[in-house]
Amino acid sequence: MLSLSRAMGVGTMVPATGMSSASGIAYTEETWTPATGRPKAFLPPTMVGADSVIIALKESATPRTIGLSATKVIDNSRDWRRRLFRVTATAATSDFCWNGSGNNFPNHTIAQVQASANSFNLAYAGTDSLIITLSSSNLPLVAAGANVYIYVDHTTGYLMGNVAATDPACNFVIWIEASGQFNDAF
Amino acid sequence: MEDRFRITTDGQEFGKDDLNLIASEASLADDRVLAELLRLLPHPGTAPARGILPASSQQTGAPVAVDTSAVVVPSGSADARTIINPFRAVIGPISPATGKDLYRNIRSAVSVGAGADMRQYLQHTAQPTNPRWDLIFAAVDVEIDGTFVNRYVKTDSGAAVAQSISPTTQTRVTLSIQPGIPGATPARPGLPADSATTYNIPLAFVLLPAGHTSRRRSTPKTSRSARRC
Repeated sequence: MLSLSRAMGVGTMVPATGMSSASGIAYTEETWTPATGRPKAFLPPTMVGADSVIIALKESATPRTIGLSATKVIDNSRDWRRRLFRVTATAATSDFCWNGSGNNFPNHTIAQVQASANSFNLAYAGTDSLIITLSSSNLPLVAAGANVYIYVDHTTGYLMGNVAATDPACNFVIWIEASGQFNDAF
Repeated sequence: MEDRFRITTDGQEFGKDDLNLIASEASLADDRVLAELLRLLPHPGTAPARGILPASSQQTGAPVAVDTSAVVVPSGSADARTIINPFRAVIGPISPATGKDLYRNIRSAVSVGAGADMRQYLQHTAQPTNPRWDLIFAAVDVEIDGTFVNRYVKTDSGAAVAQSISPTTQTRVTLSIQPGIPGATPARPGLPADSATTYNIPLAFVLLPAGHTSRRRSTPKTSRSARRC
């Protein structure tokens, strides 16, 4: 796989060569014979590129970006299935910073949560991949009992949001970074 | 910018070199842009750098029986075929590789099927007893003669005479299978050596299980890009 030269000022996101090269550690150390199957650490060289999206959810009061007990499509610009994820999320009762000079959310003083996730397996409602759950257990400003789920719909590949019945009473900024797709993993 | 041919005087002679300059700049335009973006600068004394640019990096549409994001995938049917999705093969600066040519004299060609899905299919031979590894690779022929046609050639000494001439050069990609040696614990076959005008790029190893016949699908879990290209 070729990628744009770093001399062009771009960054690249690729699996380490040792994960797929014939002389790499995945092959040479784990081996790959008909009996053993593919090395467990194998990642294909075609799993290149990365996708980052920023999500803003106004859930402090009606009208909400996603209503209570509702599910909405957050992003359908790409296929989000079979990727690795890194998520940073924060929540506050105040308005978003881009809505006026008096607003300062997000900022460094507000609690945030970071998580790793994947969209290979069905771990949400038995049909989808849960990327992160936001609640008072990981973001203290979220109202007790409220849950916001960010997940990948395995039927469509869409990035989805679900807000449970309890009012979160705050707004969210979620920064999601996803790896390239490993579509033929299994 | 490249040298721009121009005629500044009525009646100015138009020579073979002039036409070849125009043709060269037109045909190498895409490769020179790619060279700027990829910067495949070789290590001195080594074979040209090489690699592929897949047509897509993600699946399109809903889950389907045949994956679409990888370059090499099983056919999804019991036909012992492998699907090769489209890609562009790129060969780094070729000789003479010094100065400006070292910087940008790359060649590339697109590997694409003729159908609407742009796929190509490779048929694996039967392996009824022991398992076997096959290596799928792309052979890139650089600057080879195109189709020969009859062209009249006029010299100073005589009448025009028809000759078989190739008026074009081509860089093209051919998909091939290098079969391995079957065995209980088979070894992976090596990549065939380059020739003067042909450069080989490994795409994937495919494991054919014992009992595999020409009508049985190759093992999908092992049809993978097996080394970094």
